[in-house]
Amino acid sequence: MTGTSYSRRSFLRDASAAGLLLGLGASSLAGCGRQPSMAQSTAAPTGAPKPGGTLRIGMVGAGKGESFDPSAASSALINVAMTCAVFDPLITYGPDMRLRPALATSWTSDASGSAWTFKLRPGVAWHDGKPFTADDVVYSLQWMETPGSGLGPAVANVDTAKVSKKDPNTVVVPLKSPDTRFPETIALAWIVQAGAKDFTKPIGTGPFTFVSLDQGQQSVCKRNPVYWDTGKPYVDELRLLSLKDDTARLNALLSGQTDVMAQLPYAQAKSSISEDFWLLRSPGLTAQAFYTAIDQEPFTDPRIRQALRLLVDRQQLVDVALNGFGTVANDLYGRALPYYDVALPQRTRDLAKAKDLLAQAGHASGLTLRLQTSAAAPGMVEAATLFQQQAKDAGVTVKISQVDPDAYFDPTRDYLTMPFAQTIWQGITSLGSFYQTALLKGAPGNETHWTSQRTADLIDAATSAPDDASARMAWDAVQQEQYDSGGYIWWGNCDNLDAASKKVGGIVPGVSQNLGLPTSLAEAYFVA
Amino acid sequence: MSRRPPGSPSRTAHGPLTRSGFLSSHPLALMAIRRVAAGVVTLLILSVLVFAAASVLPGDAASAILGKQATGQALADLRHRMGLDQSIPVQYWHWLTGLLHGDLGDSAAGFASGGQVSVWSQVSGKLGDSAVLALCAFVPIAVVSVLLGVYSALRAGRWQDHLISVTTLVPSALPEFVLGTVLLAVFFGWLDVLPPVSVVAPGSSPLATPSVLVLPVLTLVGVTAGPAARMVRAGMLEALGADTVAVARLNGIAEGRVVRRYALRNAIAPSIQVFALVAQYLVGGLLIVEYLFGYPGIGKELVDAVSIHDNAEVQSVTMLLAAFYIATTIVADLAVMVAVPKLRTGAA
Repeated sequence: MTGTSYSRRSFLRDASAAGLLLGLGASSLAGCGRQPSMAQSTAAPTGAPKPGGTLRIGMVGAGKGESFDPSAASSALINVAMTCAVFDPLITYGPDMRLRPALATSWTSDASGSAWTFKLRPGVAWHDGKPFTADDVVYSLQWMETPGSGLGPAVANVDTAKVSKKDPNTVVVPLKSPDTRFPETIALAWIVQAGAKDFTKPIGTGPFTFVSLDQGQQSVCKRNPVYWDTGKPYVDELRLLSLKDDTARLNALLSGQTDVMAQLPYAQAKSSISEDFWLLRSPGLTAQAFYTAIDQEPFTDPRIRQALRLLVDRQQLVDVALNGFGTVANDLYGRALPYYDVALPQRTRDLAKAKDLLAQAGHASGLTLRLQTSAAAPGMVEAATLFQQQAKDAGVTVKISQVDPDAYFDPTRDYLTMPFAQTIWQGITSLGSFYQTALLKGAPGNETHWTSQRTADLIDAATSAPDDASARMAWDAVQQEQYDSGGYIWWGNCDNLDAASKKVGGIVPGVSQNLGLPTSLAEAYFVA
Repeated sequence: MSRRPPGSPSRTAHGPLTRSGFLSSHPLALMAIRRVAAGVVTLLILSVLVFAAASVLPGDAASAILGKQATGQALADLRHRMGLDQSIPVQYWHWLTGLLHGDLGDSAAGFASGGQVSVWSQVSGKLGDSAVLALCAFVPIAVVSVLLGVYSALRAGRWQDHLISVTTLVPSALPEFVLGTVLLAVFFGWLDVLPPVSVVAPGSSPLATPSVLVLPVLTLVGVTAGPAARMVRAGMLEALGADTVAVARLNGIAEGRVVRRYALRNAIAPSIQVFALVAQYLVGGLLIVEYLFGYPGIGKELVDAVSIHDNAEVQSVTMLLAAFYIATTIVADLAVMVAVPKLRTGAA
């Protein structure tokens, strides 16, 4: 969900000039010896799957935070990949964001959408040989409620005490309030074995079985020979290498020490990828924004918030801060999600109107703001600097101060206390989970300090709407309000960008996550 | 580092152990005991300082693990499980008493997975990997610095001396991460002969794939060999300037024999100190080099532990490194005593 996954708590980062020098290292690699092609290919290699081999993926490391715990609060991509390797959800997402049956083969609701019945896949075995049954699902749904669980939002609306098994392969899930789109909410809620709490030696039903984990180094998993999706996975062994440094991760791919590289930095995508590799590029769910806390002066005045939205040149931000690997956002999160309001006109820069609004708010002679930025995600600091220049055109002076990336998304430190700052959201698969986390009073992601009861009621109405039309109506109202007077200035939707050797096929870049997760690990193969 | 001839009779005559006469007749043993005692006290003081420093850093391991979810009940629960809800002195006491029982505590990495993983299981393998890297760097550093140091002392002031000084001082003037990056660009980017990242398969030794050691070792040698050679050179020059050498030469002894028998022997003591300094430097130098090449050693482990505020592990690893540092000093001093008869016998 958060930018902490990007957090590069790198030791060398703070050593002055190290980043610059490592960058020089990378460009010199591209300059000599290896010829980068002018146009990188995004075409997947053609060739029949060849079973076997060891697939090595270089991931952005999360150090000691690396874990196979599916409920781990850290949403670092490496943890997501580890979970996808070992565990299965009831329902999963394909790269096209369509629901796919996993441990549940079918799901139906009663007429009102307030109780859902899941038929479970028969004959599935846990990695320790025990059969997978309804008891595991009942336990998992209750376990997800543990305070601090990253899976909490999936069961927020589930009456977990009353979840029951009808027979060994059928589970009935009653909801607190009706939700016709509950399958989307429960998708990617990972199912663990009844009684499991300790995930240092995880046992799942997924495509790979756990072998070892060395935090900050690598994890090893072996092919699950009795995986329910017959024939998959194709590779015998999966190694996820923890390489936090961008240059090291790229070098490992270029030198053949890894076969796939996750989270290719945008700047390197243009220069360093030769024709032996292909780019995995897809529009994504990751988006970046500036935000204002609407209970802090001067942002209490909606005219000021609107003026800020009008003075931003979004295209320039995307071109520079994201190196063009993204699209302009429209002050709302979740362009690829259902119920996103595509009818609202794309907001563009209007300096005259921005100045006018500032004058109305009593700042005709200028306004000085302090923006707290951080190198917590790629492009953030660049966006802040660019925003500073853009704001100058409207007579707004922006003073930038840098915050420790470790503190930027840590609520025990700076997070949620900053009046004017930046954010990045990713991996959110429904408008409901975004708005419930961002706009409700006391919610863990309430960056704009939004406390309106009307909004809360609208979100409630939207998530529990009996039919599509009324859900859409409620979501439109929520989004219209944010578009007109919210605390966010969403400027860019970031692409998911990874790179792979041309020897690796089967990975379909997808919207929901980098690397074509959650389904790609079982489907990746070496071409014959 | 000042060295006073220890074990002089006047100082030990009133000591409780002198009745046996063992220590007064074994100044080496006496000094070893004193040094080890002083080392333990130093370690204790250091542990308090490190613990205090780690505690005043903003944030803690629980909030680092929970990220955005670090609020309310979840944070309180995890802090309780990790023992972070206790006062700092109590936490320190737990750590210290655990250490005395051979228990380094539980790693934050375990808590991040909902279980418990001991710090020792996290660091033991990495200590071994770091030792391999340090030893692989130490041997060439010692050989190169002695050969170059002695040779340039013998050619002092001539072009060979200047050439050696310049060529060794240039790499050593660069910080590790700069030299490492330059080597990376040459040996991987340009020549493409060495792996840029030191990937070691879990459970196997780095010696199984020696190529992963080359770049880290080259970096460490490059940074260290120059200054070490200069110190050996200085020691050798001093030895060459001694009266004994002049007398030997006046007696017409062949130059080769003068160098081997009179100069080199006296240059051994300062060289031992140089090697001790090199070993101590390696403890810190490894940290950066391991991080740069992703080498799975104790330095990278420490960086990871610091970044998640894992005080138990930071504390334990720091103590291990400090203990090594102090042990090196003691061993070097003892070795000097063995090598220099004047110190060994306590003669004035």
